[in-house]
Amino acid sequence: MTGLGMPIARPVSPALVVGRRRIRVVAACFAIAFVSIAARLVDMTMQRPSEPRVAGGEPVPANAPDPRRADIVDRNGELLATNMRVPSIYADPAQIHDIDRAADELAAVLSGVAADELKRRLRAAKRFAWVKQESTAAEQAAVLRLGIPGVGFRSTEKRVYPRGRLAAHAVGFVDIDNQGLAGLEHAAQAVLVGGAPSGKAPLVTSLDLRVQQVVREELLRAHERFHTKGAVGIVLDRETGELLSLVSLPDFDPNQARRASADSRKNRATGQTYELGSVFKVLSTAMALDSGKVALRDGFDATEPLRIGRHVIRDDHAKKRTLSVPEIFMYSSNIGTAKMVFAAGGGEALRGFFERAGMLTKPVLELPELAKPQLPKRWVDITTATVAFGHGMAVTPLQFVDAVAALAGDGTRVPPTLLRRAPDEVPPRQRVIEARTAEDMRWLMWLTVEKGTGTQVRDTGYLVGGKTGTADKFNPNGRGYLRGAVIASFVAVFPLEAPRYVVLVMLDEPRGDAGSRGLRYGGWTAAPVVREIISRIGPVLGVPPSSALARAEFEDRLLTAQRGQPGRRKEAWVAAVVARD
Amino acid sequence: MSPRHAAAGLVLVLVVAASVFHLKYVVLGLERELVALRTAIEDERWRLQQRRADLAYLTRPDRLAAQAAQLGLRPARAHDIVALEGIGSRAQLELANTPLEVPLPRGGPGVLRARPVAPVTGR
Repeated sequence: MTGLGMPIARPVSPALVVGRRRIRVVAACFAIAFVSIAARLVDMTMQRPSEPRVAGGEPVPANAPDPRRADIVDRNGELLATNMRVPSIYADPAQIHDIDRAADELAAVLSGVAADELKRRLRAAKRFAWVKQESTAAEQAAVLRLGIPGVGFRSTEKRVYPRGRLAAHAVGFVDIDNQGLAGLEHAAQAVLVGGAPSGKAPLVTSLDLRVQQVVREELLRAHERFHTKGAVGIVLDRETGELLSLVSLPDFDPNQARRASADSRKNRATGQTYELGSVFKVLSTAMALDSGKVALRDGFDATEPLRIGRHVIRDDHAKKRTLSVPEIFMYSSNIGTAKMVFAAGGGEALRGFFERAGMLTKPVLELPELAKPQLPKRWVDITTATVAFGHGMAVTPLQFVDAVAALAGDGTRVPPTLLRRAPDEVPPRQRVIEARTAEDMRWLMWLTVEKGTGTQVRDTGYLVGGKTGTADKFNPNGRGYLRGAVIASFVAVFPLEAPRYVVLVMLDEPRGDAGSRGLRYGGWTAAPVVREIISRIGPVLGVPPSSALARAEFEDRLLTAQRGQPGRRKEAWVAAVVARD
Repeated sequence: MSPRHAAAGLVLVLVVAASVFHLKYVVLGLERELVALRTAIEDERWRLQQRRADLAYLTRPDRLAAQAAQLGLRPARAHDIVALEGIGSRAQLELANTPLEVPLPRGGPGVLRARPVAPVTGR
């Protein structure tokens, strides 16, 4: 300041200028930062007062793997097993003011929840406890109406079986964590939980629900009528090896598998072995004929019981005379069958044949419940004789059906499956017997139905061949056999002019009634069930009724035999020599 | 750096920052929309699944069979199926419908009726 009061312009230091400029830049930066924060605050508080919330369930992140199990369907796409999202109820005990009251109110609206147990659980937990897993929508609404703070919902996945018991043993069931425990659910676990992240393809089974329903319905009827302990029904497509039906009674509801008894969960068709009795004569006779050492025209003396050591073999339907091979088969002669097998090579030949037919090893199927056959330790003469007519060796019904499918078809077999096979997916067929032997077997099975022990299966509209079986039931808790308890069975093939389907019905301890004349034989108990099954599933499977021409071909063979032996007893026509080239 | 350049740079930075800020929020919004859409699709899939299960439950063969029985329907059997060649022609049916009077050996007239066709199918 000068004496005149005028300011004196001092030169500004360059450092000061730079300093001021830097201050301004920093101030500007701070201003920008504060404006940005202010803008963000405005954005958050005014424009977006809250984060977007999506109703109904957790947000689904992109590319999240699909945790659901794939559906299981029948061969026509009908649903057998699927998943549903169900609410589960949980509680945060720290937020519940009065645990006793809350537990009482919750137990009052939730089925299967006990108030005392719930109180104990809520007191034991700190911040989380399940109130009820897998509740219903109605229960969820009821809990919401209670308005108890600290009670919430989580969506959980539940496996459901809309068809209930219909295919319970084949489909199986899962545990509470959706891990397969039985049936296809267990065997195909990797396939069911693997696959693409979105849209898993369903597992397509070979079952046909329409056939399954018919078989189960008819078996249930027989189950009630004959007061059986159990029953098995199998329908196999012998062209492809696909199982169209697999029923085991008693069965269970897979939706409530944990409540089912161990007995009802047992799959008798694949997981239990039985001595099947005379139906085994299909195998023994096929072996004898295929060996070339026994011909249809041959006869075997069945006048007296057969003695082997201290054992005596008798016939249930004794004719007390020499029987031809067709007679032995259609009248189910134990004596004749045993002698026939000895003539064809005995135990060694029979064992080798069973091996070719897959009867000596554990069956192969997409199920975990598979039982090994129970084989004799030594194939001595008495063993060979009893095995020939179905005693002394126990196999699963599935294994037996598989073998019959080869013998009554073209002599070849293809492994059975529970999964649908396209025509080009059918594995190579293995030859078991010659085609000509298979043709003879079909004729013998037809004779059994037309004139033998299986006449109850006539009148289905189809040419049917079959064999009856009635076996004493092995005592699982001791030695020998149960007194008065039998396994009655019938195996059938239809239509015989182009054999496609094999049907087996097995009844465990049937009791005869007035309709069966008090008899428990397979021909009187299991055979009528097979008749009903065939006459109902034939149209469903699109099988046209057998023509009179096809029937005439079988009858011609019979007439040829009749003309060769005129003047014999009524049943002697089957004993006649059969023209076989 | 001149003040002018500094100011221009600052404005540029501000514009870029604002653009990035805006872009980020647009992307966040789209992501939220995507998640919402995915969740909605998932919900619809579950609903569809539920409907399929309901349909399967309601069309249980035993339930349909019971309802069919109430309507007087019964399962088809092989005998109900007739081959086309097993059905008579109109001429055959007319002939069968026309009684033919013939003299009987013991005297007096008799009436003959022709069968339409011999069954080709069945037993």
